Amino acid sequence: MRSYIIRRCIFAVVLVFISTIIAFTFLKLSPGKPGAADINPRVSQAYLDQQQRFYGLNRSPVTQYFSWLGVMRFIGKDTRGGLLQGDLGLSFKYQQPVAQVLKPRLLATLSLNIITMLFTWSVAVPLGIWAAVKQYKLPDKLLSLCSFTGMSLPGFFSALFLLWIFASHYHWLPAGGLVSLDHDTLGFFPRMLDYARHMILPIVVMTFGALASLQRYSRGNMLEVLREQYVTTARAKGLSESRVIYKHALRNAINPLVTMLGFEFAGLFGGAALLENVINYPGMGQLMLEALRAKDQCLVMTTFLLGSIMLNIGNLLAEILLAAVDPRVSYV
Amino acid sequence: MIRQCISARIVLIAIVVLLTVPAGQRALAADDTAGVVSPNVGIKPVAEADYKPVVGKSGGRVVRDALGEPKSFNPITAGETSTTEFTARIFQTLLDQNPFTGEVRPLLAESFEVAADGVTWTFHLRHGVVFNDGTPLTAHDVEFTWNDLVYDLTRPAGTEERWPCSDRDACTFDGKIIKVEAVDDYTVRFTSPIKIAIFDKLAGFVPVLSKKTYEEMAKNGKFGGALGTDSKPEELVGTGPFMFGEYVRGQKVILKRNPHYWKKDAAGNSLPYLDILAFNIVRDTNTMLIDFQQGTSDVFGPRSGKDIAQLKPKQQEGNYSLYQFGPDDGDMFICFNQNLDAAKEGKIPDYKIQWFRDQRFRQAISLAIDRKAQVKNIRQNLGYEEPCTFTLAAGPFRQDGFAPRPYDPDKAKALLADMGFKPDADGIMHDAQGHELSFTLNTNSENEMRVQTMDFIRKDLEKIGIKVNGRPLEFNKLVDMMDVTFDFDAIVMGLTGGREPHFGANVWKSDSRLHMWWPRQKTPSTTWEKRIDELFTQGIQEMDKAKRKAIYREWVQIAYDQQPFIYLTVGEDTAVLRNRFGNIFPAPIGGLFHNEEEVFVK
Repeated sequence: MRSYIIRRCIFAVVLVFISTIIAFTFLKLSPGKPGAADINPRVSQAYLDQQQRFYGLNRSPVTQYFSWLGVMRFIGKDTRGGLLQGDLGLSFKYQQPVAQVLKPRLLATLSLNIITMLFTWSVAVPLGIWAAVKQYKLPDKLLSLCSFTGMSLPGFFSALFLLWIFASHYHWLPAGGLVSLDHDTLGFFPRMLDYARHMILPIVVMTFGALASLQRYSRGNMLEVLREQYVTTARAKGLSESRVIYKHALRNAINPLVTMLGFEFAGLFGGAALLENVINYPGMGQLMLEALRAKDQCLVMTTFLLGSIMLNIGNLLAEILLAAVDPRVSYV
Repeated sequence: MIRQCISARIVLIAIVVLLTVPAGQRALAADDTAGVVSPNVGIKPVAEADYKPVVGKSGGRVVRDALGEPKSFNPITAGETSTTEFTARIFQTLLDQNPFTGEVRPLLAESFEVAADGVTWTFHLRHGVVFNDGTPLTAHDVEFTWNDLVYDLTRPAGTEERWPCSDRDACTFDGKIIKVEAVDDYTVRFTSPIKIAIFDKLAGFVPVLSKKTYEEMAKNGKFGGALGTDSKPEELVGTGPFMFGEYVRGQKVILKRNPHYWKKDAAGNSLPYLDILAFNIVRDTNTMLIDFQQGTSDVFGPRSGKDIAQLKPKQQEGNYSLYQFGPDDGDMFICFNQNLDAAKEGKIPDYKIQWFRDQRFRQAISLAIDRKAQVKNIRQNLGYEEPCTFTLAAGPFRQDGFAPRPYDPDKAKALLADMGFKPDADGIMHDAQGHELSFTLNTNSENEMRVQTMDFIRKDLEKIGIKVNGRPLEFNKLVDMMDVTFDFDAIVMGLTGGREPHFGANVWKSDSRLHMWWPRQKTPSTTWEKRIDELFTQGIQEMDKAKRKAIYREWVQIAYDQQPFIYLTVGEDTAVLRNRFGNIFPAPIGGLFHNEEEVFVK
């Protein structure tokens, strides 16, 4: 197991490295250049040229890539460090170090995702099981209706709808952001309440969307398990229905879900770009989209790097979890 | 977004987004531009004579929404409004713009004069001005700002300037810089390498920084990266009414009252009255609207008639008022590609370039567009048909007497027929060689108004047999087409010009980078472009105001006849503000907060 993990990690590093090359290539091949959005007539060509030089954008794309990686600094050709030196570079759009731009966004997205995940899992899995047990009865039908509604409604649409009702029409909830202006003058509890008021909309929307599919998924798993022969055997032995379900079926129904949990980990830092834009939530999705649109090189590369690292870790985690819960699976 | 006019820099720095300094409704009534009837929706600007601030009381704050993060707080290296919005309140300039007339008026300099040679300008500083750290402002600070910060003269010999600076580029003429020296503590002498009519607007609108604070940074070259977003309040030393408080990334910028501010009110109390200017950082204008409706922010610049329709009926219950300032100075236009080099390189078919370069073609397109319908449907009647640039927005250089283009599809067809176009059986025009008359019209997808306008144009042109393929694009891609690849047919674009025609030189001179129909030409490709080049060169050297205006009138006339930009519509500049503030004197050019230091909470 350990050697497998080590091998996987080495492989992951290579994979991430290659994927950064691909990402950078695509970034360079796509039309537009950083700072092009500035067609201010009062800004002179000389100013723009100097800016391009300052950010090293006048060099060849290969040099730019190696500079981002930190190789140029390593061989003494760059004054600024790169990834190898632990420097994520300067964001062109924000004119600030990428790490500084990223930090508050990461926290915002992470807290949103973790809370959403907690809600979703603690509600969806039991609901799915319940629906499976009550298959084709009223609760199942009601839950199916909700699930299909939730799955088919795009997140941005429900977000807009809720925003329209609660923020625009009734003014109960703020229209976006993470905290209100006077947040830091408040006491602890009002402060938490302030967070809650700002996060409730995104959480509701994201939970609703994720809930639906996860609930369907766990229902499907449970139904599959309930059709297994050992369940019939257990019932034939004369075990009580609750014992059959909770002791025998449930464990096996949950196994595949545990793997999913690993995959969800991969998405922890990835924001929901569309949703974040609609409700003006200062998270990673919004940042990534803006960075891409502005072709903010270092910022795009860093968010991409983060995403691919998380994906690799998530996959690995899923595999380890699967081995842990399912005795049939083992890695050598 | 409402702009104030503490420093005219904010006015002059133009951005693409069509949010600008209000223009004069009152002025329009006085000498009515042909055909311009302003809708009546809100409170109109007051006359300069009625600007009589009262003694207010201290305390309170104004909360605004700001679009996007500040990039730095460095007023010298800044090139974008997201930064100058803040720096213009912290740092001041020698002169600023009269919010009612658009002329220059004294600020840090009490007076200035130009010698008979036309190149020596002497500025006399106001006595008693102090920086927000309590140290007095002297001529040495001005000298330092220019020599060390703007021109970066302390850099090692033979090297390039260590930080970018737009003012440096604007104040460098054929490689020669302005000589700046402090004659005594309160007198600064500028010696310009050439005669420049707008010297006061160029040199007078550069912020003045404290020598004591920044001298070391300038010498060791760290100034370029200094005054960043992680600055501490005491690191931003200016003479403005407000000083830097704090910046929380993604959330807010707080400016606080400068206790050392040099201006006093009539009763001798120190200004400003407001304790805090708070800016919530938001990402889109929809949030701004909701924030205003919820009462989170105090002021908002409605984007179109749609917002006004929502805001107007609720003025009483929301305790706010609607203000209107006349035509916005943001232009919207179609620009056809006229780049012969691009055609040579095969980036665009040769026959298309021939169409687009034909004046009759552009006239025909212009005549076939129903601008009235656009004003009515897209701007909900809160706007104007625009004849040409510098014909609507108030200001010393507005040229009157230009009528909007009529909507005349028959005449358009006649012009096309004159060019040799003939309709086929389906009514689609074909040129003499049989090429179908069709082109792609691009615009940036995130600008809802431009996309709608593009659709209206497409439908209008279809009626006279022109096939238009409307294509909304990512802004970056659009700029790439205009600036690098040149492989476009036509674009719907916008620019804000400000009130000084010379600052359009980066667009109108044929060798400039924003000469969108064919940028960076080695020699002007037409006689009229050549003439515009000459006019811009003459305009900047003509000291006589009336003659200057006449020079720019010829430019506007050429632009009106040739239509390299086919102007479409502009909006009415409007704002909403809560009724809880005193000393609000809406001005045609300066807007609501031109006297921000005198504004108080009632």
